[in-house]
Amino acid sequence: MSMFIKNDATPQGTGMVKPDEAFLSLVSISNNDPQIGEGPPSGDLLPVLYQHPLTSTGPCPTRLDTLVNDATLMPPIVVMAVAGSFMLNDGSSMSGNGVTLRPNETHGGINFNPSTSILVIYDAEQCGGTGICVKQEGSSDTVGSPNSVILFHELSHAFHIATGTTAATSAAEEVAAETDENLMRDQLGIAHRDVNDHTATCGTCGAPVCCVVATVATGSPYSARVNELRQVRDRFLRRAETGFSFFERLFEDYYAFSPQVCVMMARCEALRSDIERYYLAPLIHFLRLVQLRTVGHASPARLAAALDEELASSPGLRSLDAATLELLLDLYAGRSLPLKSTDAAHVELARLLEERALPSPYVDWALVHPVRIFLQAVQARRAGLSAPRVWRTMAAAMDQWAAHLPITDVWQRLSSFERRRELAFLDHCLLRGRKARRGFRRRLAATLRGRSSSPPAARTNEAVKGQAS
Amino acid sequence: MSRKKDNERGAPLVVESFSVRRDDKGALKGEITLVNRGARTIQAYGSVRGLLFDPATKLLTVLLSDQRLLGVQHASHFLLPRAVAVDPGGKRLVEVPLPEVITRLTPGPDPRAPALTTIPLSQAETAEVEVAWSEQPFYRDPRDQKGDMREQFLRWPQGFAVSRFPVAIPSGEATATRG
Repeated sequence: MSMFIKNDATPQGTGMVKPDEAFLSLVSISNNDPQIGEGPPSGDLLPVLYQHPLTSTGPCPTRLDTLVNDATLMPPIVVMAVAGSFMLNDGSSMSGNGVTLRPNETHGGINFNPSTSILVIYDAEQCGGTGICVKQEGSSDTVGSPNSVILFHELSHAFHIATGTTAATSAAEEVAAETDENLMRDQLGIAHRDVNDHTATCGTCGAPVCCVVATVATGSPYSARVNELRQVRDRFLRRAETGFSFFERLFEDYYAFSPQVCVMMARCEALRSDIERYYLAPLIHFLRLVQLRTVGHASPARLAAALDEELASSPGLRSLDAATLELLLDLYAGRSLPLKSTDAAHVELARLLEERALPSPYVDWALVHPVRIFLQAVQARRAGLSAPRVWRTMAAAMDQWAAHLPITDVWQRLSSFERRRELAFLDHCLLRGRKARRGFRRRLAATLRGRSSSPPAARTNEAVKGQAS
Repeated sequence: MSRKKDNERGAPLVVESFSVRRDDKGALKGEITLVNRGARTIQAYGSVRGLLFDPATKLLTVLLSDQRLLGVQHASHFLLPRAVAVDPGGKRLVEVPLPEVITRLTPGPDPRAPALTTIPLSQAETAEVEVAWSEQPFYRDPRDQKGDMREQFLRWPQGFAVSRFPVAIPSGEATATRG
């Protein structure tokens, strides 16, 4: 086989093709082997030479040796390092990406590679210098993709094309190339890429952004709290058909007011801090207890202890006075207006909650009702009730809440088998108690028979308050 | 997937203006003004995904969407688009880098390598700007075991804001080349 670097042979040189960058990436793949070099140019092709005996060992130099020197492999490979403003023949920007094209590869009547070679093209400018980030293996953070890693990934595709070993599906082929890519990461001493995630972003690598209110309230998209919310969302409910449909409706209603909340927080530090302490913290404490109870199968005694541990870890909630706690419960029940506050931001927040958040059964069920339940538990503990007793009350409220998961239209479209599968999933991650299961199934049956199910749990504190007092 | 028409009356997001300038380093920048006429925050693509140029009509199409691009099989990754939010009743200026030239690979004298043809952007006389938008940010669908993000992004937009403007590219040094 032979390999060439595409030179920029335009009369003035457009700067679009960067042969020096391509050579540097190949040197890095060879693990800085002095045996790699370039032959005399042939037209605008620079032959890549990798002469034996090699001084570098390892999978990347070995793969490069095969691609350059194995005479049985055809056709040749042409490597084209380009500027980020380079475009493929359909107009696609190459910024931040790399691509491998078969000889005369054609899609939609457009020939992307009018040549007899395998053409490897990649952005040598790394998204205009900002960097290219991919998901890191075993982490929700991202990790950089240097040019040599991108080129080695593409050379993996080129190797598969030349050897006739391309995987049966494009998804499997990407996993194979990303697994190869991790060999180059090993050589460079950088973290592995998650081979099951095929996305990338331009910019400084770190954690992905999620959950706008939580992100602003905690000051960072990388915060542990944001990460917890993301995991609950994506690892549990959204994996099910019905959960996914529920979240679609929730997002629809959530984004009717959450961007305004973020703007208000950006303008008022006190509001940001209050939302973090008195909204976000109880929501996350509640979700942790739900997970411990359902997926974690914790005993009531363990859960009672966990309730106290959650409270102990939240100084803002521990130090709440009774009047403020009452005010918060009124606020989350939509009974706060007119708010006895001179602070415009807090009044505006209360108005938004009452007008846009609480009328939505999806927002109320997922984002407000859990906070009410947790704050009621705080109130009961402050009233001197024992942790086991408060937990029993909370578990009952939790069952009532779970049974009122809003039922979306998607249930109507599922087959009996699919419904059973969805119910089994919900039993596992949400409907832990018998009452919750029975209650939800009753509502579901009524909905499927064409009768409207009862609305989500009323915004009342009475059930828990009655037992706590 | 059928493209939804978005220049219809009532569509919340509108491309109000488009112009091209050179920044202090001499690089071309496109300035797109988005206006949200609706009552909800709009999420929109904030990065150029592709450029099309029709030499016959001198029409430059600036795509802040993936719909009209074909996508190739062996890419290193699917590069997620930058997202911008436009407040209800608000305006948002989106600045995007633009190249001096549009590139195309054509058959070269040596069949082993394509030739690189370039068309200066300054030839453009009209620009059509297309922006994909939705009232919700993009969320990955964790049910999709194949993880085909391009497909997921093709399904994401609620609509496309599309407008045409006369355009004048500030003078630069690029000229038509073939190599």
